[in-house]
Amino acid sequence: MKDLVGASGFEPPTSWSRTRRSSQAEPRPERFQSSIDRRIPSIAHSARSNVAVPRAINTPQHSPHARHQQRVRIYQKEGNGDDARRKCERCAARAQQTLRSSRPSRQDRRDARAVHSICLAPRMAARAERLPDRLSFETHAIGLQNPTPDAFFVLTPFKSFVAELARRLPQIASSMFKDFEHLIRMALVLLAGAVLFLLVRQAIVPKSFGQYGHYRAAALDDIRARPVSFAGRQACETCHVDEAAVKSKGKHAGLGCEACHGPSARHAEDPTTVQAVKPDPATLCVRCHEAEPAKPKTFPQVVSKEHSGGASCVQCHQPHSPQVGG
Amino acid sequence: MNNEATRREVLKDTGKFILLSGAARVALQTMRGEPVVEPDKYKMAEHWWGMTIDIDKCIGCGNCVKACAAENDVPEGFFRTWVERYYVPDADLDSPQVDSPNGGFNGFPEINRPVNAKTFFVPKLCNHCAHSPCVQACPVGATFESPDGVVLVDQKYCIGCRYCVQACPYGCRYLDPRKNVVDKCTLCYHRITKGLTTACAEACPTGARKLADLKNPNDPVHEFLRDNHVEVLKPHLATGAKVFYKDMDEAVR
Repeated sequence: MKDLVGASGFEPPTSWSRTRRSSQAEPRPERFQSSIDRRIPSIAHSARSNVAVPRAINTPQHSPHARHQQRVRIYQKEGNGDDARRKCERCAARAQQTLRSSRPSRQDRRDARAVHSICLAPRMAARAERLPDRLSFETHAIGLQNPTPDAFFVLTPFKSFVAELARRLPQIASSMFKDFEHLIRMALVLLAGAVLFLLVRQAIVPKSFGQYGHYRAAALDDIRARPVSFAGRQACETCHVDEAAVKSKGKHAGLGCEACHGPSARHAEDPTTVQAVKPDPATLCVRCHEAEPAKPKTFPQVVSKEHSGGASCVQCHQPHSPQVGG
Repeated sequence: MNNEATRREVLKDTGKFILLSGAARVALQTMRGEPVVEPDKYKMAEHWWGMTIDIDKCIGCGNCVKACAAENDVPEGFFRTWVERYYVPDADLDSPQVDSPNGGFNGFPEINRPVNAKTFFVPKLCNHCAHSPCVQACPVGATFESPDGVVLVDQKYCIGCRYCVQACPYGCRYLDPRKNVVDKCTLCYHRITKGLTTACAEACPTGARKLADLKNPNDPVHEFLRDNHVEVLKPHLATGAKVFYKDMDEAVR
């Protein structure tokens, strides 16, 4: 057997035994293996691990812990993470068997627990080479689905699984992300910033903003609050009934009072103290009736100099009913 | 035993509750000496404001410009509404001459020009577009189309960036130099919400400009739109302008 494996001539010679390299044809590095294969090594391994476990290893250099660490160091140096992990698992499996065997000594149990704490999850090896340590969690999940005695984690009720998960979350996170503590700090700063932003926004943005659209609905009331200057024809005609009657029959029936008299809201509110403006006919009438080619042809217009020869319009025309003899 | 209330009972009790709780509120307000706020009679949802302009009636007196300035405290040299005088020579219809001395505030002095020309007045104001480009340009939400169809400026929010001034295709906005905020025609929003007409329409001696409420079925605007050749300014811009010009000449820009 030994002569056949790796003998040159058949195939390219291997640089190591098949524990590391089966042949040159195997794709390398092993990291490219499908992740499923790597997740369940303990189950695959279980068939072979039913070996008698040596009992009572008391000296520290022979303790499983020390041996494990030694292995991790070696594999770390040689840079093969998967093997480190696998060895680690083997350690754990043996330790479990020790615990299960009849009447283990106190020292046995202590050793086994030591192995347990280090090897139970292959995270030591994983962390040693900065590989993601999702394995422990995933192995557990698989253990739940396929409960085998050698599955890495002893099957635990869901409650304790959750508790375990919560306990390990920082560890898992810290192995998933480099310098996990910095991330926590960053996340806290971001969270505080978000809260501050929301508070400030609440304080600054007016309540009515967005009521009808992307604007302050209260602005409508602000604009509506402006006082009125022109009272409107109806307000005038409630008191000045006679003038309104005259005007309604004449050519100026369509005119609003304030078209000539100007804005009179203050007079309408307080007729006794605020006097209405009496316009000057010299400038008022020509404003509309002075001839200009751009004015509509049907509109009555005159060249005032020729028309009156300088006389005031009101000598002939009554402003409220301007037609002469009308 | 049947404990369930009948439908009639439930409705009765609900009605009582609504009536009494309203009465209780008014009573409480009176007791506290708070002014009992009358419910706003003006319902924005019932109006859609615009304006109609009959070019054939405009005599260029400038009354509207004056009235607007008086009503809205418009700074000198700026105009929320103004009147333009068009002069379109028969020989060159493509190049109309337009003048608007001081916005038409003091009327139009006669210019001696060849008479072989078409000449007329065109009052201009904010078109209160339903899809107004100025609103889209505002970066802070200070200008908006109100639910009743008036384009307004929230002067407390305006930062005076003038984007809207540039965005308006009709040149209807200006920066108020006293307040450094943008100002424009509000369609006399403070008047029309009280049931009055705009200051310009109030002052117009010939009735060339009329406030229009397109949601009011009794408003004469419907006949105006139906019976006349009506156009808006720059219809190709699809701004949804709501100032309708009757018999507008092709030369008007």
